[in-house]
Amino acid sequence: MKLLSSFKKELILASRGFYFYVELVFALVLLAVLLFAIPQNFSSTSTEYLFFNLPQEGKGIFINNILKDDLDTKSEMVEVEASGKTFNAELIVTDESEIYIVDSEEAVRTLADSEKVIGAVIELDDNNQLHYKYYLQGYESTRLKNLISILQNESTDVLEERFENQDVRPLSTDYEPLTDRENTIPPLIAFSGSLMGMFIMASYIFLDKKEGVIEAYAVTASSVWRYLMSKIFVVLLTSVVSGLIIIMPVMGFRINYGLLLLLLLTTGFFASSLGLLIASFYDNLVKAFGVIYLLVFLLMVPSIAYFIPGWDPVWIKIIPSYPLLQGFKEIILPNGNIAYPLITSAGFLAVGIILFTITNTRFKKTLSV
Amino acid sequence: MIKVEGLYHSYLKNDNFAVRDVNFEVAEGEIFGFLGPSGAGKSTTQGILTGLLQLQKGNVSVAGYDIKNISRKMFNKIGMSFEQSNVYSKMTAKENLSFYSKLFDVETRDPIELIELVGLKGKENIRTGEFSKGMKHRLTFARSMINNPSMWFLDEPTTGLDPAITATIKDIIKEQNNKGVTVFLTTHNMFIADELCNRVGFIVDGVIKLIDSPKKLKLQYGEKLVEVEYAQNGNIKKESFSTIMQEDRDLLNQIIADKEILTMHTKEATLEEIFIKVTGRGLA
Amino acid sequence: MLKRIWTIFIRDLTVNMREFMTLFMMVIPLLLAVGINFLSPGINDTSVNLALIENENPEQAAYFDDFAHIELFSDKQRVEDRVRSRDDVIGILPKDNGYFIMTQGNEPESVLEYAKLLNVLYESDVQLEDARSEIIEFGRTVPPLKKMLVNILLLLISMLAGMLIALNILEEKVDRTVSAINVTPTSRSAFILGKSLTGMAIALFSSIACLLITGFYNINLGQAALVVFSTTILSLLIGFIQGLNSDDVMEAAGSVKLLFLPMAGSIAGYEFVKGNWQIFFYWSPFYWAYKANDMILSKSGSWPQLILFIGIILVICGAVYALLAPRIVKGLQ
Repeated sequence: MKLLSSFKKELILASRGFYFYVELVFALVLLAVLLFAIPQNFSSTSTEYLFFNLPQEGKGIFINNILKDDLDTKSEMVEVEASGKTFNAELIVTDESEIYIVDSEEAVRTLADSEKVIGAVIELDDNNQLHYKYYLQGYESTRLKNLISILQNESTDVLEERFENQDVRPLSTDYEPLTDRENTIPPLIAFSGSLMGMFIMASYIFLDKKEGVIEAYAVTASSVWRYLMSKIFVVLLTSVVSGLIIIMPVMGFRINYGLLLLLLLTTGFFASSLGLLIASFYDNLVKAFGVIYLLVFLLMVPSIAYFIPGWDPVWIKIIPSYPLLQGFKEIILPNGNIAYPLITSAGFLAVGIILFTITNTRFKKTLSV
Repeated sequence: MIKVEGLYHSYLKNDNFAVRDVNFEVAEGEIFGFLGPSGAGKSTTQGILTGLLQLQKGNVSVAGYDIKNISRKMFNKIGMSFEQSNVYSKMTAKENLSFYSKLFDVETRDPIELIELVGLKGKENIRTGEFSKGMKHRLTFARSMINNPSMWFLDEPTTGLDPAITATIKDIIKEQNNKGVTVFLTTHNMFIADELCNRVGFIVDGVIKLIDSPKKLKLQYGEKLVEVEYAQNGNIKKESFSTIMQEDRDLLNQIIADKEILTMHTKEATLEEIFIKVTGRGLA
Repeated sequence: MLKRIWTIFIRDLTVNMREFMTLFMMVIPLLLAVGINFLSPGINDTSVNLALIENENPEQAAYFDDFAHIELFSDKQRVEDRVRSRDDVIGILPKDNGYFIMTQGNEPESVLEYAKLLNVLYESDVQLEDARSEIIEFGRTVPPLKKMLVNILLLLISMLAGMLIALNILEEKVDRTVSAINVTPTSRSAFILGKSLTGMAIALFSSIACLLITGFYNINLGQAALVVFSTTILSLLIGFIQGLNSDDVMEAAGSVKLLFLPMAGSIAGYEFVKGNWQIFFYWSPFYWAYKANDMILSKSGSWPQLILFIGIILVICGAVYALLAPRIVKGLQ
């Protein structure tokens, strides 16, 4: 009962303050960015510039081959400009790329350099064999360059046939991929919903310290942990509301909201406890800010691994936001792994309890400071 | 040095005036006290004189400058000691004064000298954030002298200071005045005003009720009394006697001759009593 | 006036150097720059991750290593466990007559195709030594992602400068020293300029330092400095407003934090939104600053273009200032 009335009081106090609404507005703006700035799927069409330094027939074969993949099996004559020069080009648009067939190597080189995309010259060498010259930027990885250099060693038809006949055995077939917009949600709720709790918690505590509320509290019969816990409840409330603001309009009722709430609450509890712990070491926000911002930056690093699947060093997985991001992803995936967010929630809850206990002890000692 | 004519100011820019038709002059070399209760319009008037508040209506000149179009050069001649100390808490006392001195175009006083003058010797390298309220106030006061002002605005210069330091501050004010500095003193401490000021102005609800020297005011409004406490038949009696009326004078002489006198005080009217009499309001 | 501006600047700088927050604001971008250097080679090397059985076919493992990241495991079960894990790892395992590709089922198509292609090339015995293609490089060593991260860092530095100004103004408010300054010959403009200089100096210093740390030393640093200067103007404006209108550090910090949104939105808009739709971001000075930085970091683009972008930034800043000037002046009284 005491805890509930403490919580009610904290909620009323918070609702008269600035931060309560900043977080909600923040969530609304993130939602707007999600709905209007981030497309359903990022277009991944690449651009290529090709020059066929071949006899007409040979050139025709290549072009006809590419035309098969054109969206309307027709090419278009266009002009392209780069570095103050204009070049004629035959444009073929496939669902993966825009291919410009130009009529000189100089055009390939200029356009590839200017537009920072790949360019290729296909010609005959002295032995009348096909020779491929690729123009790359220079920052491509060695492995990618290796791959490009051997791509033309074997006949395309042969490679294509073998490619189609590859034996691929997925361990599970009921995965549906997320759209790019949906894929952006986990980082947004992770930071806006859960991890913001760290920052907000510290702010509330320092505000109370500044106003002398904490000293007044120290001479009441109510225990410290009730005070801290009721503050955390307020932060959890804003975390949950922020999270729901972002996710509901995009995902609708397709996801398991029970699991989502569980993960939001447990991770929010963890973040708030961490924020409290940090706040207990400092006597003003300015000093605590430094540590909190450092932590926020560190916690943001796994989002790089999240968006770039190929980069996944072991040390990234130790950072708490990694399981956090993956947990939210499993929740919004159509046939996501339920166990993962459950285990993640349990983990965050356990760590949160430990942090809270330590913080409680520290605050008891330092409450009047 | 200061000339104010028909001064009006409304914070809400309507007919609700904080100061209304205020007129007064302060001669060069004078210590002029501005007395009034809280909310009377003292700070508003002082704010306008120092350019902190924009002049809305009236004519005001300070140190020869027209306040309507304030020239920043005017501030080379002005010093202001604020009621609420406003020094940089993250800087030391010396750093505060050194920084401030560089904002003026005129020759400035040595910060160490000023720090010692207000009794803060040994504290020059301590950050003012660690100062007590009184110490900060003294530093604010010291800072107001840094540019050797000829026109000195003092807003409650002795607030929160103990009697010893108060005495020091009063001596400094008198000393500066003797050198020709004009002082505009805003206070609701009538003892200070009585002791220091050549003339005082009473302001209540934005209107000046009267302006005159403390001496003349006391003569005009005061009563000359002697209050005596004496022992009679084992009891202590207290009586007041007029020093003008002959009857009372004779009675007083008799008591002095016959009774055991415990205490005897002359009772002049205080400025506060005069203020209350004139304005119908207290100074608190 | 110049003397007073300098005096105020030196005061702010001296006090800021004693403050953890300012030092932090100066150091953090440098640390992030080092972090970018550390991270970007790994991020750039994004080929596919393959899981193979150790010693089952060392030649195959060596072959794949030239084109992908290889992880070796003791048996098929271990490979399967690895494939099942959160990230995108493809297993290539032996079957009766060749190899099959084991996937989890949720990998992006591009990852699967890369793995399939590698297996095809291996099966076709296509060797690096027999490479028929010639590769010509333009000598660019900075990957696009690194450029993006550095660009974001430059904008972040401008924001931090604004926050610093807000904190400095707040200090004046809390100590009530603005009125003390107002009774000196210091004009409003001198005060504003003096307070702005610290933020600008730190922004410029941090930006140039970060550019040098991340290896962008052969770009036009003068151009970069100009863009930093103009973006900082906006942050300073906002810093002033927040400093003057906030009563405490947290409120000021919270308000400046809100600015991260239009900044992030502008970056997202420039990077992800297609051509004509970018017009919806033209109102944001961050968009133009990001665009100008991109041009400078790529060493493409010309002075006329740069001057146009900077002009747009300054016009937007001017409009913001015109809108907010009364509040600034009121706050300074």
